[in-house]
Amino acid sequence: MVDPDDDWRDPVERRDADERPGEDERPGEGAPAGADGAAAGFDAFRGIDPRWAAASRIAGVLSLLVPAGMVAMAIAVGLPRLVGLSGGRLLAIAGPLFGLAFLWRLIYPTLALPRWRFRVDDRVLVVEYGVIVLTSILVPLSRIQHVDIQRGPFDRLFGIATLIVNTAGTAQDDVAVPGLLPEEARGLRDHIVHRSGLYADAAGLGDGV
Amino acid sequence: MASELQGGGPREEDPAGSPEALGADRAEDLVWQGPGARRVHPATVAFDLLTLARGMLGPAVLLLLFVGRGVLPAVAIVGALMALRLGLAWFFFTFGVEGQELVARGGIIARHERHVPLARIQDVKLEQTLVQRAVGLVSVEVESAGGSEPEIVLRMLGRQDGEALRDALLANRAAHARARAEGGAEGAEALGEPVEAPPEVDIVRLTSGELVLAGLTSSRVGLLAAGLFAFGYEATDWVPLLGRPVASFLRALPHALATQPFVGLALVFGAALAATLLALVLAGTFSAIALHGFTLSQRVGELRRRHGLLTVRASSLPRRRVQAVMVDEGGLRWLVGLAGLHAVSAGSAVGSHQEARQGRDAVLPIARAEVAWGLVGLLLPRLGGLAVGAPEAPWRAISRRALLRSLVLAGLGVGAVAAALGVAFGAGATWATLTLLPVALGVAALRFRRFRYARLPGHVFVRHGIVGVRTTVVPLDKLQGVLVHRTPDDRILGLARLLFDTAGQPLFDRPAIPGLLLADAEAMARSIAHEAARLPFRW
Repeated sequence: MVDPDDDWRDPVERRDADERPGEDERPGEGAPAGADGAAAGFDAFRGIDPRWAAASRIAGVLSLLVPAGMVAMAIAVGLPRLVGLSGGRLLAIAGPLFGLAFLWRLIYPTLALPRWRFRVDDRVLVVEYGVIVLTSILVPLSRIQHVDIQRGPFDRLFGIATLIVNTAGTAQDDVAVPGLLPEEARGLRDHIVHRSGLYADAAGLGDGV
Repeated sequence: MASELQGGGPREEDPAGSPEALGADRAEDLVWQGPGARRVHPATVAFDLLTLARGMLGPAVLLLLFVGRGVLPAVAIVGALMALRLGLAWFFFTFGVEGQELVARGGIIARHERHVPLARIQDVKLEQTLVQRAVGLVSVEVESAGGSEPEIVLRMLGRQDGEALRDALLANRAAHARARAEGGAEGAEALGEPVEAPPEVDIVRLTSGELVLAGLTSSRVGLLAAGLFAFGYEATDWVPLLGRPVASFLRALPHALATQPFVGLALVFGAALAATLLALVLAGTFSAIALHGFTLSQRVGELRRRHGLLTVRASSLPRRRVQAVMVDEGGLRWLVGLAGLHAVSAGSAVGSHQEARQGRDAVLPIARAEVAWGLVGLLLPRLGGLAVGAPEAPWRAISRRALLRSLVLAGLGVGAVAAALGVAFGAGATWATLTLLPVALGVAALRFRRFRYARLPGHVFVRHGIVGVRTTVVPLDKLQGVLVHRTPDDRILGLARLLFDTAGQPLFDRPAIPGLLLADAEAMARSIAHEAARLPFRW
């Protein structure tokens, strides 16, 4: 057993700090200055665009309309007879439940917006989010398999985009950063791809899966 | 007669001149290289015909009964057509190694082809059912990186053909790996040259007694017992054979709990004990049959397993595919110094979910703990000679606030159950349940004591358990990401949970360190992610 008070972080972090000045040994890393210029903006934590909250609110409420409609129809058509409860009773049960769900969908984006943040340091992508359970995901850039940019209808309506990062892991094959401006998303993608060495791999033997 | 499937390479007892000593790549040149495509064994048609006949028997009998003898010619024609189709399907299904690819072609009218680059082949698995064994055939499954299904299944091959194919494919893969490691033109050249087939060396061979022991001490016994308990309760409704005594005993339980709670509890414990004993018998028997003649052997860069009494299975686990390793010293094993060794692997036969369900997922079902830990070093070469199983590993405890939380939760849990039972069966049941409180608190405290984690260069160790312990070793070069989770109770206590994500992990059973102080968790996540980022990841 190690004394719980001694700082286990020291050796590694010290090594980290030592390596920082001249650390880029990977091929393709000393490449275009342009990419590094765009990169600078991602080193510190960044929030996401407030328009994401609006888009998310609309999408969330709309996604509830279909189940709500289905339940309403079922109650109208004959569910009461099936379960032996009167239509009014069923409405009294379903109504508040859906009311709460709608309310949550309305409030959630407001609560979640300030929690969303991300950064890319020299080797790791960090994404943080969550309202009730707070999650912070750290993805080593060298593990990234591919990067997608997604723009759903509401994203397009509000002029934002979502960046999706895929790894071989089971849990986070969809690490997503929503609420990015389209040019910001492209910049982030290029930055991640550039730093992850994906190009360096492709220039190598060609079968580096 | 442990197993008829032998490793393809020369074994130690083989004289050097035996046909098997020809070496895998020679076999490849002689048999598998070039466009001369091969077919699977003709017996495939016979097997398929049998399956077909079995499928047609029912409908045919029904037709005969309801329509009369007049349908016989029609049935015969349909049968003949289907048999013809099977024959043609066999004829048109060919496979072979073309250049650097394994190619399979099939289809009678619509033709389809599948190309699997040899470099991508991760595992070649041989399997022999009892019938196949009688006629000397094997099934060969070729798996590549993606997906959970094998890429190419060759259902019937002569045993020697199957083994030669396996060795040829795996030798070629090894050559690719070497070429990639060496890189450049040299590496490319090496691909064309014959590769010296390395010998296969047996590491461990388990006796039936050891396999029974593995079954008896496996963590599945608990689950099995719980299942039997529930099944016994339910089955009395529709399995008359279980008999009135069992049924009436079980039916009487709720009443006993209500009127004489302590007698009722004793009865519950008795029933649980009976279920446990039955589970032990089943687990031991199953283990002895499914893993019969378990042999673990090593060949450069991979481990191979052979086992099975009825269906004989041989599979390989390339070292590169190991995403995490688990040493299971759970329950009784811990007390007697035994351990099982498991590997999490992506897309390979060893460690697949199906295998886990069937209890065949172990790299080594049971061994002395030192042996199992020694093999961890073999599976994770970066670990090198670090003495990790030993007590001197730099184990660290989680925060005491986590203990506080476990105790409170255990207390609340028992309280809630006691209250619920009290409402249902009266105050007696509440008091009887409350006697379990010390047990629940003790378990919570023990869990806290057992929970340890350690960081060694390039690896994270997570250990948990109640009586025994299970240790998961995550090599950072396979780590895909680190998650810091904070549930509301974590936030109240200033704690966080660290989760380690690798390929092939079941989503809800990932290695995790709960109950870390937030600052520690964040610093550790950062430091681990950075260390992982520096290590190149290879499939």
